[in-house]
Amino acid sequence: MAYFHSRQALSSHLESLTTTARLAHQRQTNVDLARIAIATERFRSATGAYPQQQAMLTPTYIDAIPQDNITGKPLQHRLHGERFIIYSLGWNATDDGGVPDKRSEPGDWGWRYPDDHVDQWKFENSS
Amino acid sequence: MIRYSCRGDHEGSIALGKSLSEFWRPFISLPANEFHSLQQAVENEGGRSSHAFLVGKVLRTAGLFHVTVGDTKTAVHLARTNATIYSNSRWMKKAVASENIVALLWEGLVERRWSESQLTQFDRLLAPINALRNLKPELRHRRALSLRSFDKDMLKQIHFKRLVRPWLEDFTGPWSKLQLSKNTQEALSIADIPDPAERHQSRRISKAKPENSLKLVHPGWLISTAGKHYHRT
Repeated sequence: MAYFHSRQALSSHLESLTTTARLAHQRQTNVDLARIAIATERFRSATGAYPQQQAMLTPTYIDAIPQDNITGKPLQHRLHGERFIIYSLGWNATDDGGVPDKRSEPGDWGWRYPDDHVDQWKFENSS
Repeated sequence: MIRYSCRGDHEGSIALGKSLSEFWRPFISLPANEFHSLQQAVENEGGRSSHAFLVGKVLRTAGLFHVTVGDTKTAVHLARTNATIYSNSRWMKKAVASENIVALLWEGLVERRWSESQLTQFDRLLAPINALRNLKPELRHRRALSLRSFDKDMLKQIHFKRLVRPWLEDFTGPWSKLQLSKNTQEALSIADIPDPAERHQSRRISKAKPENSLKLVHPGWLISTAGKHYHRT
């Protein structure tokens, strides 16, 4: 019985390791997304329009574009009129169309405007 | 009130025009030793959680540029000053790189409030932040603590404690498997962080068998409790 409880306790501790790793990746992603958003806004201020590709931001507006900490690939970046969305694929490493993750549901880590445009994005992507 | 949204479960509102930074503002220009004394005082009052809470409150400022920059500098200063205090460093990094900063920036971007020079300064502040830089030793720290409690319950042999104790005291150093018991080795094999490029190969298994709750997969990755299994394909 003692062995069983010890294994349960260790299991709980190990899960906390996962949580620590996930939160660290998520917070770094938030910072990376913020930097890209800043560069994107600077691009818009200078040219009057948002960039079609993240590569257009370097080197004038950002020295190097951060990669997705989860996939090692470029972060997702899409435009929609006067707005844009950038996001990481999140802990599940799956493109959920920019739908943010919640405690009970996996999703993406990203920026979106106060209005809920994510469903619209998802709809447009699927059509 | 303005809505911000950085994560689905962190949606909320920020009251504009109300800054909590006034608590820290007078201390920004303090000499390093006095600043450290102040931190110690906060520590003594409420512990590191309270400390992190205070920093978090500082970061939830009113969206005013000079206040935001000042608070960010304060938080970074706190993080750097606490670099030698391991547990505090962890909390500080969380506070600095938290969504609070992102929320403030987000507010300004939505309203197109920031000027070119302000955006440049924000980018300069954010660029050095790397929450993943010390993640590996942090996980080793937590793993060591976990194993210590595990071993305390499970194995009470004096010879084992004599072997593990020096290892726990130097949890950031290289570990020798010879120093560890068979049971501990099994758990230790999991905590190395894989290369980000390899992570996309990970997938989540929705249904986990209880007997696998400690089945540690991968040369490099976690984890393992019932219902939350990650392993590499």
